[in-house]
Amino acid sequence: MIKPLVQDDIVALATPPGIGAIAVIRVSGQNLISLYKRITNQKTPPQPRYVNYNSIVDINRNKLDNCLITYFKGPNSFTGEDILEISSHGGEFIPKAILALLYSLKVRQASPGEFSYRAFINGKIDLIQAEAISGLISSKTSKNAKVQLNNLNGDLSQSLLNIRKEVITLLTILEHELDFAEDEVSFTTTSEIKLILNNILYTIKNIISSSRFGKTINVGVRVVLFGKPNAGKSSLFNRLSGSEKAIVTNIPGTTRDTIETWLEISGIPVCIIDTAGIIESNNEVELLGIQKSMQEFKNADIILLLDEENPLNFYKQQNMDLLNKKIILVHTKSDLNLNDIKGTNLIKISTKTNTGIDQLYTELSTHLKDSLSYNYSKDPVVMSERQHALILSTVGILNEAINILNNEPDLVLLSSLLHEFTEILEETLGKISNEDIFNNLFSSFCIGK
Amino acid sequence: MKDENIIIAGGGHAGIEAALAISRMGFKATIITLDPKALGRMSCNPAIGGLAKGHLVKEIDALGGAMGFFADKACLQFKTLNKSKGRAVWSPRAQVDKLQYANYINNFVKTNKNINIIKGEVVDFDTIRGAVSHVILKSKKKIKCSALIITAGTFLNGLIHIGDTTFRAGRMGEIPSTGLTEALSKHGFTTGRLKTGTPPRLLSNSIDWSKTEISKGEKNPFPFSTNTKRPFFPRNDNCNIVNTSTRTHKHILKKMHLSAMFSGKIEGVGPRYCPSIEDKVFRFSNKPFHQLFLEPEWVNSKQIYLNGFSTSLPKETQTSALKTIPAFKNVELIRPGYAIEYDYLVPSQLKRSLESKTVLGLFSAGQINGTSGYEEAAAQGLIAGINACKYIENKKSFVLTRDQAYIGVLIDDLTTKEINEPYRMFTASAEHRLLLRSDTAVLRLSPTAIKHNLLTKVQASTYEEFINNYNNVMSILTKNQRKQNSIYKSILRGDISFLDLSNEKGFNSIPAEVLFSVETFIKYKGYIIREEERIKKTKSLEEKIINVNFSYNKIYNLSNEAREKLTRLKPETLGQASRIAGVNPSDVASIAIALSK
Repeated sequence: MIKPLVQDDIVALATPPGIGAIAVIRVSGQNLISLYKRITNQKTPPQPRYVNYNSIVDINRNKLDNCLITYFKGPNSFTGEDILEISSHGGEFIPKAILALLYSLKVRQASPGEFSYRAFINGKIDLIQAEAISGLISSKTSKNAKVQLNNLNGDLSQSLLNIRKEVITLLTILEHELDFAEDEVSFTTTSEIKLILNNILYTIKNIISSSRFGKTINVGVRVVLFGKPNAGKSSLFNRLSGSEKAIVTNIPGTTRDTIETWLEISGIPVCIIDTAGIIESNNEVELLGIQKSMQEFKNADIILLLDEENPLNFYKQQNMDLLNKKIILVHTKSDLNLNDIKGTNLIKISTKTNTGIDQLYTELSTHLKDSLSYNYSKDPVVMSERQHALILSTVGILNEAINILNNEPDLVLLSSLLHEFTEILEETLGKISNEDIFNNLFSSFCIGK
Repeated sequence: MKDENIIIAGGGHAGIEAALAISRMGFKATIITLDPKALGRMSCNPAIGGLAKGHLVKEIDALGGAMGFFADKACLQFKTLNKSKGRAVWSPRAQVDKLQYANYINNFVKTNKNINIIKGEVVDFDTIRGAVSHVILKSKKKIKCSALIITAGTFLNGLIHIGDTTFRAGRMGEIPSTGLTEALSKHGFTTGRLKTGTPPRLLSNSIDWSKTEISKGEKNPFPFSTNTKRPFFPRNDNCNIVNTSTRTHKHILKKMHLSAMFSGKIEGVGPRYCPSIEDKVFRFSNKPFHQLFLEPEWVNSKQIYLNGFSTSLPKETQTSALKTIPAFKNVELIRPGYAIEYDYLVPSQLKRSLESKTVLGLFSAGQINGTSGYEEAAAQGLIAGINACKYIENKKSFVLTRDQAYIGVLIDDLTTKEINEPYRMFTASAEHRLLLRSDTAVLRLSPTAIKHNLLTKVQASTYEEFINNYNNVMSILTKNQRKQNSIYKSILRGDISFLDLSNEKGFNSIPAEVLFSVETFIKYKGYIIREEERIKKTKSLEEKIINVNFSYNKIYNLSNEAREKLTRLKPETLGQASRIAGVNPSDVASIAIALSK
């Protein structure tokens, strides 16, 4: 648990534990100068934003390691507090020893996300940026990392802020119209307002359509290998993953449990899942495996339906055309020429002779790119469920607002909806505010008493 | 306990409502005023109500106040403004006979056994153990009091400007009050300086009325007060309108340097929304004309109030500028427009009860708190009066929230915002306009008023009758809501209105206003529910109390600006804190966490 307002110093290992040339240990706290002096046995405080080459000494002043220490003085740091970044040698022992030393000096182990939390609470980043950081850290692919980085730079925040600004300008006009008698000012027409709202709706919808992409590159795409026992699922799995993770035998039903592996195809994280073959069975273990296969089938984004005879028959038998799923039919063991079937929507492969694998990759990649028609490098991308849900709810509000304008325009209702709209945008950004509309209200208009 | 005496320094609209509220609650009030004859005088425009202000008058009425009732009685013309827009911004406005209004108020107050009136000037006060104990008059006389409400209006060090002429006055022809500002400073309060203005008064005979446009009153208006007898038939005298022209504007621009406001003589900040004519001409140079309203100040008045022509130009320039308008070719001024500068008490030093955050039992209300307008003043006076009684009774103060009343919005704004121009009520200031409609004032506020014993018996029963009628009609309509061709559905479709409703069986004895409220609710219901949801969202924020002595120093991650403002403004709730400009969401989050510990 994050301790919300405790002023204590926190520490975390910033690099993954285990073998590595160096390890980075990061400390954040109100005032870390004395801590620095204590662990380095130095008399002078560190110069901010300089790399200091120091020895770190333990409680008994014995040297633990030679380190590079960078000191960031708050509030000019990531968390807004003082930060020490200690680059020590890697491995199991040294980083642990330094951490133990710090614990003994009342530096607490940071909870997950606590550094970002402190950055948010100290006003260094907004909520979307905080969310982007957590996304960036868990990025599985370069594309994901790039999008998260865009969000961290405030791309999504900026788009939302721009929309908010537009709505507030509109509200300023509306409020003005509502609060002053008819005589003094020439007012905006309904069609002008409608035009503005439609433009905003268009932008919002664009952002939302980007959210599918966001999910795709964030959570990844689940590709499930599905079919009867001994259809060659595990062989293909091993071929795709480039490993021997799955046990392959000639005995049908070898795979009892699902196995998964992560790949990057066209920059998108893809989870390939091998499943137990589908068959009528009384074997309890086998039944459990089949149950799991069905579960994976349900959760799949793309299904590779494998069959050594004719996947189309299996497809029809199982009434798969009724399912709203992306299914690629794969005719396996093409080297054996068991059944030379024709079909345009069919990919013939052989893991033995390595034929058709490239074609399968191409097919997969086409599907993946379809879901990625969004151009991430130019436009903002919605990443988290929270952001998605909030932004999605604004569409209904905008539609309702446009609806009001189409019928008998009641500007009070319109204004009420637009207020709700801006509140949701602000909530997305983690903000609470309603002053801006009012501050704008008088600045640009001629007003009668 | 009922011998306790509450002193009110000032007999304007704030002072009057304060005294009457105190009396209704069974306490005694003493009004100390420079001129007992000027009690309840309307010093500026001859009108009560208007956009958002009409809402305030209805709320004052629902809480037992007098303004709406006497405005109805002294009404010359009645109109609901903004009728072309949504019902939530429909605002009643009455052209009022200033003489009659002041007369009614005078008689009402002077015959009240609980109210005592003293001629004099309050210049200071004493405290014992941090609580107000005596007021000190200019005559050096000390009077004991249990609470003090300062309602000094624009009188504190009032300074009138007409062109380059400057003289000290409270209002035209009335002496200003001096010494109290200095006393407040001595007691540690911060004061500032504001400016407001008033237009010239024209001699009726000198106007060519044939060259004006006629503006008529409304046929069957709903009066302000629930206590006003129905049917309500105001006199509905005509008002008149003229337009300025580019000729007028050129003339004013040429003489601009003579205006007290443009020559830099005035240091106080004036309101942007009630600009002087020179301000309008200067700032909105592309507008070909501005409307001016000719308003009678009383029945058959020879004196016409020229609404829209507030100015601090010299008298001769005012006259010559007006003469460019055909109807004013031979116009004569009874008295010129002028600007007045006055001291105000920075209102963030007050709690939402309008009691000082530092001196116990000291309240202030009205224009001295930086507001403009009779209605804003009356609303504060009422709340200060109620809370002075609560203070004496040692009870929790009476606070209206932003989702309850415009009065709540008004006072919340005053106590959290930094006021640097006279504050005027706007519907835009309210986040929940759909709920705070003028037709719901009684429904919203009278139940609380009854609970807090703020009403007379007669008032209470009148309001209860309104509420009962409303609830009955509503329950009958909703019970049959789902039936085919139900009245409820017809209202929703807009097939029938409240006027048709009174023809329905069982509804013929129900007042039209009740049916109007019912119809409006049904039409707005979906949106009203949305607003209620929004209120719920921030409710926890609004209800989270911050102790006055809360130290922001212990929250290390506040920005310096936020810490400085929070320490100075001392918000009473987290909701208030979140509304302070410069306090960021992360600051609010930090305070929330600190409070929850």
